[in-house]
Amino acid sequence: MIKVENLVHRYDGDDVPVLRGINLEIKEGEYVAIIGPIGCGKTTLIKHLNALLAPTEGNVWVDGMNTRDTSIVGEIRRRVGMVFQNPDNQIIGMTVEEDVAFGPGNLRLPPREIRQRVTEALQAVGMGSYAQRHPHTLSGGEKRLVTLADILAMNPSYIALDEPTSSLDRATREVVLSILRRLNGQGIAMIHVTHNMDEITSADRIMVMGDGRIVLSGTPEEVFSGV
Amino acid sequence: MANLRTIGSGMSVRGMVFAAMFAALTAVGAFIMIPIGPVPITMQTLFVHLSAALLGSHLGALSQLIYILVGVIGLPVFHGGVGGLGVLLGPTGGYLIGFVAGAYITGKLIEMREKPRFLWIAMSCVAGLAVIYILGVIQLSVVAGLPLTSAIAVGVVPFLIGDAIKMIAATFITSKLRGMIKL
Amino acid sequence: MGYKLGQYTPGSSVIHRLDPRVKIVAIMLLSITVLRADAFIAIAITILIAGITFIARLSPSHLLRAVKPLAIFFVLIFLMHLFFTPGAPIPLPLATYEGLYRGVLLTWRFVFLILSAAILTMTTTPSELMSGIERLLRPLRPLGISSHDAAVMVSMVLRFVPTLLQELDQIREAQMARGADFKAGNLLARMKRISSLVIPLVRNSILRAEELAIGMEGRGYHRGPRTYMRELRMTPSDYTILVVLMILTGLGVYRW
Repeated sequence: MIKVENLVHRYDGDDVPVLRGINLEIKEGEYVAIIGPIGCGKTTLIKHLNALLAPTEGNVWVDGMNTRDTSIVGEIRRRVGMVFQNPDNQIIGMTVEEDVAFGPGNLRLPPREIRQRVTEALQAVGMGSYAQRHPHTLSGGEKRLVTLADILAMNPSYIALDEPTSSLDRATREVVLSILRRLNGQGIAMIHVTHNMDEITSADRIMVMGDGRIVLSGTPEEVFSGV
Repeated sequence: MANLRTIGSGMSVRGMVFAAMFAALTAVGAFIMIPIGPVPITMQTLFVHLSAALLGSHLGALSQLIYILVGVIGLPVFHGGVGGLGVLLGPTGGYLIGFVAGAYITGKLIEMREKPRFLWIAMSCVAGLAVIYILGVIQLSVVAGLPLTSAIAVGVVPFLIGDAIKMIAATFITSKLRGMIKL
Repeated sequence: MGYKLGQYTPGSSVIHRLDPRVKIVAIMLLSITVLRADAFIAIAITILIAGITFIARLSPSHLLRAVKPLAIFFVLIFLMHLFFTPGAPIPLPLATYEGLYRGVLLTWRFVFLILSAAILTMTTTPSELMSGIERLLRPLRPLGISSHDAAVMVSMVLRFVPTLLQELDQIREAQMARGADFKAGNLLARMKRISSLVIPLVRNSILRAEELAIGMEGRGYHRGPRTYMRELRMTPSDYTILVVLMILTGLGVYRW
């Protein structure tokens, strides 16, 4: 379970905090959508979930581990995978398979296990035949799937996604969303940040953010009837 | 992102990524050919200046070292698309070694001033460029068996106009982008 | 855009299958020999390179293309030696026999330095070269150079050069659409155009680097030791070839 308690975040040099007291819980296997206007702090919030940021005030716990504890940051980052908005700024390997192998390599897994995880992760996103391709020859949608495989190869319990379908066409967006739902069905919790309402009707829970706070939280029915 | 965490001491992951990115830019510079002066010139030295001025002496020199390493393993990233250890050992290899030393010198000189002005940045680039030419000409003269005067005639004179333009461009670009990177 | 990552030519020859470390060391040894070669050694190495090209089933014309970007420079050096070396005249104004000999030998050296390196990159994938370099750099750890960090940086360069070239093309096209002419104008105008091309490219790269660093840390990257998908393993034939090459180099460099 991920637990966020009174989280306040202020970037160095800023007067006003971006997050002003967030409280939330995300259970194993849950599909949580976070929506809200641009600049409301969504991206900052999910960066806290995998210890990319340290709280200014409050605490974030991942399966009981506090993200302030620098000695366990590696394990927190393994459990909570992060998928950012622009896939081109996440792929660092010169081939698809080497990119997927980057995370497991950071975990110092033996070569045999890395190869196995790479194969499984690429198959899980339907990119098995792309292993030897160079990233610059892929389409936007294919790059997005590679970044998803990057995270899957870490065997995460949670995946936080920041606008994963922005800049994708409609058909590709459907492919990505159906893969997310399938992975969620296999027990991986999804934290899906978006500003696109019709993407999240199937979420277990929706949190609406505004101005650094969660202003509304509930099932899609509850949230949409409340709007 | 000033309070972004980095694990480990010394050079940060960000520093590493910046060095890699400027190595890639230098490689791209080898493909930008612009006809100036008697020979078409490439843009590598522009990026040598920029990596030094924007990243500082240490990361600037590191970026050039990585650039050379990429070329040495055979990727066609040296002038106009050659690569391989042979280039480093050949007549033009001294210039490449000069990129590392030149970036370091330019970076060091710029770091000496709290707020370097246009002229100081330009002069630092000139000093770095001088280092590149000195190392380049020495290797050219030794490996190609040419007397120094001939080496200078072949290896310096044709490029002077182009390098003057690149140096001014680098100083101008630096003044535009210097605020963007907080390392 | 058709930028190719290196000149790798797929194949299954003995040369292709050699351990990349052996190939890298072999090229270093060969380069040293080439730089010190006299006419006799030069002929021997020419035969050796021709043999390797044949065994690896490489196209000679494809191989020779590697020399093209530096060809003008080599011709220049050749001519300088031909005309400015004192010695016995040959039936060509100002040229001397000694000049011809030195010119030919030096040009041969430069061409074969590049050819031997080209054979390496044509028979080895960038990934294999990377693993090879990473392993060969490991002894440098005490000097403060981590081979793992260097390998990650080199692989990022390989990843981003094609992307940056695509981006450069887009910037250039956008500016030509707005009427920028890259071929004409005085020096100041040219300088401005270089800047207008480079500033967006560098600015994008800086923003990209910021995000990449975050993404890498998010995937558990930390500087220092890590593991790889493939481990290199030396076979008996790798060792044999390495030893034979070392002996040949010793003979080539020190006998004369």
